Amino acid sequence: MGGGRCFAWVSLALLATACGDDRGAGASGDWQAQMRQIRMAVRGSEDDPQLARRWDAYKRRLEAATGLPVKLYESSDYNGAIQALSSGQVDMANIAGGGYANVDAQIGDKVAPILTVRDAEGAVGYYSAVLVKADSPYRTMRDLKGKALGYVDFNSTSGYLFPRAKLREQGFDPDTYFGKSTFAGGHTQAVMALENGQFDATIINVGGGTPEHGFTTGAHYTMARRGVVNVDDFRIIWTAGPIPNSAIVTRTDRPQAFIDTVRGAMAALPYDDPEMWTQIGQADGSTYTAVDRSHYADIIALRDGDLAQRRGRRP
Amino acid sequence: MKRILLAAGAVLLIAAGPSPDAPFRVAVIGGEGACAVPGAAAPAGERAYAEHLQARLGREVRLCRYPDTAAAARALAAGEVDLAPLDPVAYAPVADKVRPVMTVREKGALTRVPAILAVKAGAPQRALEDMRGSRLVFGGRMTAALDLPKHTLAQHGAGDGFFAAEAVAADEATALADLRAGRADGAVLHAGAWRRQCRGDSPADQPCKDLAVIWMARPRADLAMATRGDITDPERFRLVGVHVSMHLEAPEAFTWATQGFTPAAESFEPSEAGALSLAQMQ
Repeated sequence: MGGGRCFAWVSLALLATACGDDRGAGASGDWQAQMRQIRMAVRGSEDDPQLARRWDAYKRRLEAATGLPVKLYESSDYNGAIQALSSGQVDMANIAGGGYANVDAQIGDKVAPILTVRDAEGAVGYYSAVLVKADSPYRTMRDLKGKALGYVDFNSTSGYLFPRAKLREQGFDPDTYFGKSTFAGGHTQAVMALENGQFDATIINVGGGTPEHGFTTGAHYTMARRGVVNVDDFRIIWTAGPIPNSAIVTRTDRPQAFIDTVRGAMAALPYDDPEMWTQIGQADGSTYTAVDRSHYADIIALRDGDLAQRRGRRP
Repeated sequence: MKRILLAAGAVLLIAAGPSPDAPFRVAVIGGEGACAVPGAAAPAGERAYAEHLQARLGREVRLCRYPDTAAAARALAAGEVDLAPLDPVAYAPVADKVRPVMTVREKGALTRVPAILAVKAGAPQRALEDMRGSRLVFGGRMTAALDLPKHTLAQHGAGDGFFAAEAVAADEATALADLRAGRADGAVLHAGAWRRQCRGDSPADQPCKDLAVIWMARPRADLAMATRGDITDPERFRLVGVHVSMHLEAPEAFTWATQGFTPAAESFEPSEAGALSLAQMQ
């Protein structure tokens, strides 16, 4: 009998050390003893019940898969998850491409993306959209010269990083074209601020479609389905994308067995429990697909370029 | 207290699985012979696969050759191997002892996206079989909207000649409009398209309350990697986790491991337990 078998015969209270054999926990068990818990950083969910359900489902899934307690670290802003990953205070995170690019800039290959969502039609991206109020006179980006624009967050991919790069490519310098630029702090806050007249336009995420066929997901759609706003009160006047979907990332200095188990458990979720998959806001027919750093190479380059641009402007 | 329980659970899960000292045995289709670690004369891809799996599982990996999938299925059911590629025919006799865990996706292909068949609420048809001789409309010409659902329907016995007429609408919204207008008796969409059309834009919005889904299924896999049915979830997840990233981490091993599936494989994909049967989704 191998060392790993002995646990079937001992009291639970004795646990791993009871066998007195280094192989007792076995090659597959050593990593659990080493980690003792899993710490996962996620975006704050206080304003989105569906996100709260998603994080709770992920926590339960990972606890069942690993037998370890999972502690969620909900961050109210983008930087929280970035710093928690960079400093090693968490083992894994669900993070957007821009956030991962920021982590990559700080600690390089100590963090790696392992999974991202692929939709039913094979797409692995979403879009950035400039949103204005439907009763406003703004119809194109040219109408927004000198107007007040609300970004989501400095570390937001769709609400800052990606659209600024695309605006530059189209001849609009985002640092001088608008009369005023403000950070709302989140997609929901950006939509509410637009609704309340604090901005003339805001840049948020949209998905579940294309510029040609329209979109069905994104901040203002989610808010409308919760009854917070009316989707018809807004108009999309500019889009850019697709942007690589957010990723599950892990610290690479954690046990490989941990990374493999997390990857397998999460990748199998839409097949094991398709009902739960949709209840947590994932689209029917979508799945997780394995990725690595190269999937986010363009976003990493955009982040580097944006930082260089900003540094170049400093007196 | 919760942590103690989870730790105890982890120990039990580990303990219930095979000994970490035991070799991990993978069935290979073609030839015959005792299970063995690939030698120096083995093809590079074969050695790369065994070495990659061994490094990631922490167990010696042996490859076991069987003349066909039926023999591999019998060996898997008997506990003589731990992982084997099976097709639906080989799977059927041992279905109660084994379970599919992974399939392979071809380059540029979609995953096994579920298709749904909807009728008007109150229509007499309650199952796919009831749709024989009726008029069907598909929600567009994209692969996910047309090719995959048609393939899945054919696997479930609703292939050529089953329906009286099959139309293809410009898109998913038009297909549902055709259904509502009586120009079709049933509309077939992929699951993602159905969700887009039916989720609504406000809490009170139920755009598809006048429709009913009577059939929903993923395409049956032609070939899948299967394990014994009593594999624990942690073991399965680790095995799947190693394989789904193999195309990125060990391309040579991946190419060898998928050569029996397709010459143009893109990645391993997880699968549901019913991937080799004609299971319907709830």
